[in-house]
Amino acid sequence: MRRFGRTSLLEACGGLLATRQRAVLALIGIVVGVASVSSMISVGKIVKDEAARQFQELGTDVLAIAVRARDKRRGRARLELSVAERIDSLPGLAAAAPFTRGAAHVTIGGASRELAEIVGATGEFAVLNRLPLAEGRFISRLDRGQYFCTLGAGIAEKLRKAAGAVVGESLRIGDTACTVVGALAPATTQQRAFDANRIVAMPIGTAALVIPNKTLRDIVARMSPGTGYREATKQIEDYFRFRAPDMRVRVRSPEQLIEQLHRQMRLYTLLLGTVGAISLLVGGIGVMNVMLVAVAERKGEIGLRRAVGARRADIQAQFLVESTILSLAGGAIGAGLSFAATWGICRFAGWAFAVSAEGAVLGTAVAAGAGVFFGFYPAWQAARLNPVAALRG
Amino acid sequence: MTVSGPPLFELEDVHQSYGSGPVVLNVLEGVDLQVCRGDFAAIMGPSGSGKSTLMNIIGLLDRPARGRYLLKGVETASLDDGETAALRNEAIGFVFQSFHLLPRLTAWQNVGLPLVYRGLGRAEIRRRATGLLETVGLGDRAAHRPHELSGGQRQRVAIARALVGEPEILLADEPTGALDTDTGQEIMNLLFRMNEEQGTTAIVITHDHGVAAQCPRRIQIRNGRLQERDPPPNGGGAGL
Repeated sequence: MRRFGRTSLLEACGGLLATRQRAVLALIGIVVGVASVSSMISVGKIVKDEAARQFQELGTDVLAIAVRARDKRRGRARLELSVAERIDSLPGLAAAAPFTRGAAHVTIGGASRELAEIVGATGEFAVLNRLPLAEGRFISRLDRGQYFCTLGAGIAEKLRKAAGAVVGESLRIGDTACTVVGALAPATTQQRAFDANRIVAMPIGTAALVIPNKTLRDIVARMSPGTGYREATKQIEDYFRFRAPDMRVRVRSPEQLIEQLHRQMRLYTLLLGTVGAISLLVGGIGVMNVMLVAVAERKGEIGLRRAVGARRADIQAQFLVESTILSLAGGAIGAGLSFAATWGICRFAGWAFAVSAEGAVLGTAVAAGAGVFFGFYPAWQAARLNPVAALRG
Repeated sequence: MTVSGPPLFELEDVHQSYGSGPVVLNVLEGVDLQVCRGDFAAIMGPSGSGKSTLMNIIGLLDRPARGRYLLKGVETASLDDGETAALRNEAIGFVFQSFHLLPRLTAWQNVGLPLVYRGLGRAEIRRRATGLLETVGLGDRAAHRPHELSGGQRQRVAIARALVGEPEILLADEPTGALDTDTGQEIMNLLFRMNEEQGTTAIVITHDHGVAAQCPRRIQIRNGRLQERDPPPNGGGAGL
């Protein structure tokens, strides 16, 4: 295609440099517009990745059930372990693990004190929470009444530093010594009800002696295959309505978390989309203005080019190339800027920042599109100029 | 050097008018003209007489309101924009009073412009453009931009541009109008030389009788019609 040859590209750059100041003003709009659009796409991708990562770690089928006394002043209402354990008889649930939790200081190696989360758990706790073991084993039904514990990765690391090993060592919770039987692998998501890296998991019975004022309030459960979380939630609520009428039940699922994540993302998308659209419109009109002025200023050139054999289509292509280069320059800057903007949004929202090429590529494509769209009218004007009139200036 | 044969181009009963309604300005009213290969003609006339309109029609920049224009045997009225542009590119070279060089381009890039629209590669364009600049005596100015050149040099660049595509017709609209007498004479000599050496047909529009007197053919335009003048007594001024 001769009209997109090298010469006309070089000439296009030269033509744009000649109208520098106006071009810079038009560029700002394109820069902001493309930055917004690119960020919007990048944020969308990051949220999708984040959601996928959390699904993978938490599982899609796990529910966190929190049972609280409905009225603090009446106080005495409590959840019985037998009631909590039998919740897995619900058709919507495949397995359930009730657990207690409370904060306590643990003493490691005789000196170092760490704030840990004491979890009174059953054997299914690690499985349901998808907490893989790094070494040893998780506490089980057979440990009932024993002062055995399995440690979260962070606490285990402290113990390894102090004692040289983890399994077989012991730590003290208050006055009570406790033997370590296993350690968990590090967890990355912060979306669980507890910080998995800082737990000390013990049998429910012994945990109750270490953290005496903490009653049973939490259950983690896995849904039966094919059950949606809304259906499962309804069954759980019905179950407790009958057996623990004074308790308020709240069920959270990863799906719900991710819905929340998407709501948050939609907000950013709306914001960025609006800013992007308005900026692109403003920038595009700026580009159109620059090009209209360029056409008016370069009538003589247009006439001359027609005289030496340029077709209308050649003139049109020349000005379209110019407006596209102008927009692409803005697009390139905007795509760069979008990395910074995306980084900022991720920091603010607590998501893992990742550079996504899609955002930059699509943003640049949007810029090129704007260049063609807003350059079309000026280029058409240039092409339909009467060469005789154009040569007169 | 006039070669006999079928005319290179031919105008038949060409009319052109501007405006509409009660204020129509009839510029050309029945122009007939035949020009053969190798002709060197001056078109003279007072300003507003239609010289430029005639040149624009010959140069395919404008179309007559009525009448026929045959260029190289082709009925130009039937050509679309692309065909017209291609024919203009291949058959016609323009030289303007105000040079019309593009200020951002170097001399060779200006000269090479017609070849860009012929689709030639950059290296080939540069080679041919530099060759033409040498022909017009500006071989050492190829990389200069127009503002670094004198008026006479600019017009020579423009002539090189008009000739680079080896057109059959060179159309010059007051080529010496913006130059002093000596420089203007140099430009005319260059045009005569090109006519002599390469057989380029030249149509020069001028109101300078000194310039016109050197041309073998002189055509007067008056009241929208053409009138051929007798050759001057010395038999033509080619090579003067």
